[in-house]
Amino acid sequence: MTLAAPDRAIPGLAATPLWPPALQREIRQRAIFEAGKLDPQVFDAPALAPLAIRLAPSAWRNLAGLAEAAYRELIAAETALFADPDTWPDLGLPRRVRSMLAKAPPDQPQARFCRMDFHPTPTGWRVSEINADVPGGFIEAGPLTRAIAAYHPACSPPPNPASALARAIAHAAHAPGEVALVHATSYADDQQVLRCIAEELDRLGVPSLFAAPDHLRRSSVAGQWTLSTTGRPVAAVVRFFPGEWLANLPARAECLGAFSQPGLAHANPIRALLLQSKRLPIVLEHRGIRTPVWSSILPQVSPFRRNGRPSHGQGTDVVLKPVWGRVGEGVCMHGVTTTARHRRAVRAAMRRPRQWILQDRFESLLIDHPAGPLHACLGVYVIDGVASGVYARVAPTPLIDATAQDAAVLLDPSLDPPEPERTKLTDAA
Amino acid sequence: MRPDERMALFHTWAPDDSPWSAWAKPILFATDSGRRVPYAIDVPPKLDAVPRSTARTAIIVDLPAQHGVLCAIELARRGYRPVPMYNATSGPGSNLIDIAPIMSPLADGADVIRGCRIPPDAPPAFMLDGARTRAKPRSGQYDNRWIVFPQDFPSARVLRSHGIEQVLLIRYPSRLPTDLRTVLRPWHDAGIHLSSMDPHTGLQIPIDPRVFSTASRLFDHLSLVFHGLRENSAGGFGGTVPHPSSGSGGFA
Repeated sequence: MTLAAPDRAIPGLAATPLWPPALQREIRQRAIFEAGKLDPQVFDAPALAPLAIRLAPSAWRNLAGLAEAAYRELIAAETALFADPDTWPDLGLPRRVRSMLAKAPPDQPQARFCRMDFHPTPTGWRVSEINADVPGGFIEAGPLTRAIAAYHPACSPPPNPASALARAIAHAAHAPGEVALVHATSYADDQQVLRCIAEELDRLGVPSLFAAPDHLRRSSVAGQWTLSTTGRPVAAVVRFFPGEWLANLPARAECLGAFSQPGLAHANPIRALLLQSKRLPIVLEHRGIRTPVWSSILPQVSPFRRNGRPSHGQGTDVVLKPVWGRVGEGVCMHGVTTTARHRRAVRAAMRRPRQWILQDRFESLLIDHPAGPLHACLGVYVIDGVASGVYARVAPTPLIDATAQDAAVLLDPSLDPPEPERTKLTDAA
Repeated sequence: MRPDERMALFHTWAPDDSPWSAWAKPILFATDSGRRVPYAIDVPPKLDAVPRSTARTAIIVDLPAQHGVLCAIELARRGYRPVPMYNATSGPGSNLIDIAPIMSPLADGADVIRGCRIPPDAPPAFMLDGARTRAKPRSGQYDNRWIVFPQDFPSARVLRSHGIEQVLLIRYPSRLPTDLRTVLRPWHDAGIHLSSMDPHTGLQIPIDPRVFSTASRLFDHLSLVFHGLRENSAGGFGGTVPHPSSGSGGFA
């Protein structure tokens, strides 16, 4: 199964055959009870696609190199923005979050994790966005990919980002106690991600506990924090709670102090929101902060103007996105999004233009498959600067949203051209 | 509990031969610690008025804890396929929702479910915990309340493809919860007939279509944002409209 486009600008990307129904059931069972994927169905379809994506090792090295280079630029940009609070309103950060950022120590111990979402296009890989604050998918890219790889012995799994993140957290945590896995505790979908991280931490001998943000309490020991549910000290905070949601906590909530506590390790620290905002490219351009690799793979981003047009390009050649959107929420694409939904989004953007952006649309190449052509988005994880894994989401439309299906990405050497044989050297030579 | 035991229990309640098993939520089974508690119900549900399973009616059992599980077991005896939809997490310390009164009858009822030999084309009885949002957390308590979303259930198109044209809610009389209303609204809009039954009396009444009006849609949105969430934005439900995996940082 190969790319359908005549221009094979992105070689090395294909799909496995469709799994037979019995195998789909077996993999579903393993996904739930081994990998911990506890959301196996979304609407009328399985959450997991009945196939895996095959990626040439050279293509993985290319993606990894791009992601790492872009990440280095973005972290440097983040440092510059963090030191320049005048940029924070322009990023669309709520006032309460800006206040928290202002208190965050610049040298807070941290483990950083992000995911860059790559799409194959006729002109090379393009990124639709970076998820720098609370990227998910660790189950899919970690234990689930490993389980699925067992059924494709000619392929191998990419690195496991869940174990990489656990190592990064273990390295960053210096305080005594347990790692607090902070999330909105009512959501099983979010807890399952942290369950996966907890298992990896457990393998390293690092204890952890689930917690909500408001469980964080100051300890009687200066600089230390505990959990109100257990009274036990917190060694580090792993936050799977969107940073902009912290703005909804009461202004005097004691737990907010934990996010600006010097010496308490965070993954990710609150400053990750500086990179999460989809207005980031606009602000970087205004400030003259150059990110050549990132800018080469991210389509141009423009402010939303009330006349509905960006400063360049035509209306149908752009995608309308909310600045803080997640899971494809609110993203509008001509010809894909319904007219009613598009109108609602435009009305919302007209009311609050600074909460929306326009991004140049790229052509997403299709993967040909007997089940029908597929658009694929490959999410590449970067953990503390190192590309550490990947998984895909696939859909019949170019808009990858909550209805897209998850797919493991497997490295398939057969997709790389064979190496030329070396010329034998003789004694005479 | 051993992993194979958890898997076996889940498969008893969500067998491969039922099309409705795809929507069964596995979290309680996959994370089952094995803790069991005694449970009882005061009055058995009056189910005589429930349509025969051949009448192509889907059921949503929205009763608290063990009441819902035991009601579903009775429905299984009547030829319905129970589908556990419990999506509660668990955490350290005191949990707001104790899942043991749900898990205990699920475990105890496994033999009954197997013995019912429910046919593969049996209509579904979706099982919810009617107390999933009722309590309010105390300070230091683990908030594991949960709600349902339209994407947790089959669409009206899928219901119809299995010959289902009506849905019966079995619940104690009270205002329809907001989350359940958002689930039922697309079915109502698609013309699926909706009614409600009080298990104490067996009295069945149609659900007033006004609960799905545009005004109520706005009220539901505001209710979620201002009432359910503003009080609890620090913990369980986060700070915005409760879309699951909103923290997953999706692909876009």
